[in-house]
Amino acid sequence: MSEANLHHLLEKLELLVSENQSLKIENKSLRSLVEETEPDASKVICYNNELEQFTYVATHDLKTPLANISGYLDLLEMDLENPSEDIKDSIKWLKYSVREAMNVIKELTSALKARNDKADLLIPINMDNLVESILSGMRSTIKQKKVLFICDFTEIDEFPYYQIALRSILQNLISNAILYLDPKKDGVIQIHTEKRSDDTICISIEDNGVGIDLEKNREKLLGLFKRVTNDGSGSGIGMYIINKLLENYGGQLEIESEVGIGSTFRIILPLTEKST
Amino acid sequence: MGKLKEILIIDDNEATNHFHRRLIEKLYPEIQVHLTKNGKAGFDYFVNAEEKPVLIFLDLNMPVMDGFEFLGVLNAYLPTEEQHKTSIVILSSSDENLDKERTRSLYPNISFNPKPLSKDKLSKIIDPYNKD
Repeated sequence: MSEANLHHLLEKLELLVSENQSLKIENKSLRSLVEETEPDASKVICYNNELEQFTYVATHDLKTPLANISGYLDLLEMDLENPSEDIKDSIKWLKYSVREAMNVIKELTSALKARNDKADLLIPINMDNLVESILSGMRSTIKQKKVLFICDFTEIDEFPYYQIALRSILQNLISNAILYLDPKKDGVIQIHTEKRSDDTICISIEDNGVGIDLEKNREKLLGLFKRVTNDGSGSGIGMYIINKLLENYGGQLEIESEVGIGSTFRIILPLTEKST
Repeated sequence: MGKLKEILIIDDNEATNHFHRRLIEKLYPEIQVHLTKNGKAGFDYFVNAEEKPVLIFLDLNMPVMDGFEFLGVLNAYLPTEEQHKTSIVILSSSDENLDKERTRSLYPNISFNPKPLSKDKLSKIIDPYNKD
């Protein structure tokens, strides 16, 4: 159990380390980009936030397996009767290494926390304001791609949720919708809210883009670093973040799509306040 | 407090559950460990138990019914004067203060422990029960 766990973890760590390295480089180049090209700053900040969030969820997901390894090492130590010096030495260094990995995660987490030390509280969210502010951050892309946005929040325009999380979810879905618009058609993206039942609401983002073959791509769509199309754009981490955020803050994602027609992404959020 | 006979563990991580069961059974073989994989299963077990568990180890992030919801339903189910009898130890993987405040607002008899439990931490939790 412990060894399989360790293997799995080492693989994950390796991935994270190399990912982190490229994130750092990416971050650096993004920062210099911000300095160089002021007009595009908001886009860069969005992307930077996305990378930060990815680091956050990835480190969070590594904690449990690491903690398990540390626990099983303790058990192993208790179970060993008269271990040889070599075995003791291996256990000592295994423990040391696990501790080191945990420290790295702790540092990463606290570094991220220090940067965005605003608690994401359950507050009333105004959809008009939120969507407007997200769209204004994408102004140049929207203009360049000539996308028409049709927003309708008349059915429900205010509800309680976690603002930072919802902003990130919407931002990811909207930029995906823009990214996968069909260049041969005029791009139209419709965003609207509706009350599903007494205790859930639904925010849908409907595009007339290239669409996705859901049968073939369902797994890919929800996985990490996997893009549905191969055109080279998009980081592939957006869907991972969306799913993680919904998992953590409560909510579900529904996808409907047809190749050549377009896609509809629906975010289903609970209306009942969990915290009261 | 009376001798501790049973610990109910509510956590969706199989490796963590198995570890906690083994650690408890090794150090306190007289204690029964009952594992459930989410808040709903844990609550069902609690409701149907003839002798209510007095110590529950609870994870927060779980499918179906998470730790917060579990605390909510337990609070609604147990009369206030009974709540001191069932202690909850939150096994958390983060030390978000926000989580702490939120859980305390849901159920009064709560303590926190980072995952996983060590020998020392476990004895700190269990020894008070075995004193008298």
